[in-house]
Amino acid sequence: MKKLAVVLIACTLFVACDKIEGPIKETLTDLGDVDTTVTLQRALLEEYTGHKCGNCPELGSEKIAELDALFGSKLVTVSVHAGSFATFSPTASKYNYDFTTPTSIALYNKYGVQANPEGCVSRTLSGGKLVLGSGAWATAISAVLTQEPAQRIDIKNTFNEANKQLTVDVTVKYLKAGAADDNLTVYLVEDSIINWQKDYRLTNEDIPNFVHRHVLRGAVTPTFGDPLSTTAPAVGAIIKKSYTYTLKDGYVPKHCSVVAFVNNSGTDNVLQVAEKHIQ
Amino acid sequence: MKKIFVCVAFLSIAVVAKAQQDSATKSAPNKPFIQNPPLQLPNFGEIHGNFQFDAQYYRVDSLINAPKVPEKILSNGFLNLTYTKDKFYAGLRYESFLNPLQGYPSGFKGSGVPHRYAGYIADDFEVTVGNFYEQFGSGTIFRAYEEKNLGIDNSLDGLRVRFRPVKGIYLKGFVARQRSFFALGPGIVRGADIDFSVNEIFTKLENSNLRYTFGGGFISKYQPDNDPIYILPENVGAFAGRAGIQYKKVTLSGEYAYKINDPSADNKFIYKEGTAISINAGYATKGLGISVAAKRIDNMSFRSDRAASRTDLTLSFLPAATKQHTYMLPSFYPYATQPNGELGIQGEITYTFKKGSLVGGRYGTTITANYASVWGLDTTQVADQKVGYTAKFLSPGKLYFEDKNIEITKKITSKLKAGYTFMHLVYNKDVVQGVPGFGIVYAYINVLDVSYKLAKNNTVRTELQHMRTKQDMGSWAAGLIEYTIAPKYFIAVLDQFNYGNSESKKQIHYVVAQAGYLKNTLRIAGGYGKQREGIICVGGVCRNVPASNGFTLSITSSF
Repeated sequence: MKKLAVVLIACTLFVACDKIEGPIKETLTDLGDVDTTVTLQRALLEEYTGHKCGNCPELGSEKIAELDALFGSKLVTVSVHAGSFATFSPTASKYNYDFTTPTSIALYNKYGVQANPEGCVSRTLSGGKLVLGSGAWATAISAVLTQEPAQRIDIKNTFNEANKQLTVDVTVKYLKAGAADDNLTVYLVEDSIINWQKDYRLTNEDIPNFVHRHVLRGAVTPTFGDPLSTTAPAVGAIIKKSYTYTLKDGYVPKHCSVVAFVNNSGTDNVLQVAEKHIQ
Repeated sequence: MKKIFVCVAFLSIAVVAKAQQDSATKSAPNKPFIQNPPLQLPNFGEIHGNFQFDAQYYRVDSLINAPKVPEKILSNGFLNLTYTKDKFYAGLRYESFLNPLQGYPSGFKGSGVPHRYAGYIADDFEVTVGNFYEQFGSGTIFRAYEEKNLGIDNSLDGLRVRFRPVKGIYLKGFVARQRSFFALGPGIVRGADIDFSVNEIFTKLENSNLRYTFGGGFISKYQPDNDPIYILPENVGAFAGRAGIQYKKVTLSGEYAYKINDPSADNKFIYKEGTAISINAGYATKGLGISVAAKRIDNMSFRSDRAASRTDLTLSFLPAATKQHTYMLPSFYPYATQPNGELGIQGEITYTFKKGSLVGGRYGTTITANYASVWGLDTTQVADQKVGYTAKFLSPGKLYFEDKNIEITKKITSKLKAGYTFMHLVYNKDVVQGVPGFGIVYAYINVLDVSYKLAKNNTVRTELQHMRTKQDMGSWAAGLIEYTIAPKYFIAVLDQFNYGNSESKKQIHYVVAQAGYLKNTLRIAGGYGKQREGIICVGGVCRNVPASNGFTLSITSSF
């Protein structure tokens, strides 16, 4: 029985529970004005979503709004519509709009997304996983933002209203030594698209005028990037790239912006990201 | 692997030594008068293993929604090796998913040895290090297990001890992290469990007809709070108490579990506590079996990673209190346990009419009737995220699932056997599959299963099935014919026809042909055909299986 007592005492050591009695939210600090001359480390959140995903307004959109408030311009979000929750029927009265693009479908398939909303944070493993549930985004973003910036990315957009042609000039300055397999990837996103969205919290689950934010519209470069250099860029190396892209009918230029990021084609990790409106 | 190579090398030397000894004995024409003592071969222990390989070649089939598979061929495979010598044991499992079959979690992609362990048993004490599986009680707060069909392996990697301090008292405890595909999850799991077998402890009660067991377990997981928005509990604990009593042919058991605040992706990060209660009763005698069960679950999803989803890193195991059907159409709409909240009851009675009776006939007849019903909890949402919602204790909410079925099996002649199943199903697809917009499916299913022995080793078996429903994909008919030449060969063709689909182009025959060869422990089976999209469930845990069109190959073996 002596042994039993020892074991039982040992068992009591397991009684480890944290009951949260006080407020459940951390005290947030004011972000203040961002100094644009300082190169900030930014994180890219690629949210996988769909207009028929009834959990996405609460677990996706509202979560991103919360993260935007916390991280400000340090967080760049792209909402990728693909998979079974993004299916549409052009002749139906609801969900007749096609949010998908070849780029969104390619991303969805490559990362093996199996549920919505899920997301990748700078395409970097967090807790051993690349595709994360929304509850893990804040932690993963915080981890990315603790890193020293490896590059500075500057975007210059020139948009021609007449022919809807967009010229994107991207300058990448290496603050740390780079790798020969670093790519530059440029996407076009459109904000504030008003269309149908399902929300399971509502009695009438179908919302006709939901504001869809950060919607991925297409890739200006190849989907997984354009090689930046054939050799490993040294510290201080400056690489300039220029691309053209024609906006499709229906895209609202003043709601569109360009997201550019450096991603390593070997590890897939996004090292730095920047965003700029086209107008 | 090194240890295994050493063991294999020793075994090889031993086999060679034994062969030389036999050879020497046989070839010696004149035996000496004084013989050497027989060679004492050292005991190197035993190695056993089993192997499985499943592969599929995928063709694009837009009509059935079979997606394009860039690799065209996907495969899952593993080899288990176990070594035992006296009180020592060790083992490992090599796994290869190149790339995982459609429907399996993509996290498995790759190959490696994610499972390895060693341990020993010394009298009343056992220690295991490395990977192990474990369960406390019925698993409500903790079950680490492997279910290959679902792509689940939430084994633990750490240290475990089991101890029997006195007769009738069983203790176990562990500290470990959980397997997450080819890595480990972020949480540390600590657990302890105790079982009391009253009739073993008190020798006076050893032969009593009344038998009691009690037990309890505690689990605590630690996961750092790196969330910049919420203050999350880093240590989350759950405990469960259980009791069982048996008097002759009657059994009664129950379990209660409680979990403290555990905001997670499953419960949308509310800080509400979780509870679960289950009661089971049964009566069994020759020719008659009765069982009833009831359970209530409220916010009891418990994982070692609060951000995990699907079947990843689960600690709690909450089996469905519904019958698990095996025929094609009755298993079309299986129930998946809703860990966030449900209330369920089930009852089953099995009666065998004796041989020679009016209903029993010459060989007897068995009838099984089963009823199960599951509802959501009657909840009221509360704006305070700490509370989330309130739920009435025994007030059922929305109906999730109802299954009424009866099964009759009868041996008609020495060569002919038949079985008939009728089932009425109410299935809330919106809730159970998490894909709102489909509504509730009402289905009536009939199954006739007949097998006829053509010769001593040759049997032909047929299944005719029909499901009538106006909802979802409409009505289905299915048939199967299987010819077995025991013990080596079988061939089967089955067809599932969605004739009731409201879209005529989707009124498709899903035909599959399969053949297999068996020899001792080796089984090779191949097939070709169209597999419909669906979900498969084991014990209330489910996974989606996308539609596919192509060849399949399966090899299993053991030694």
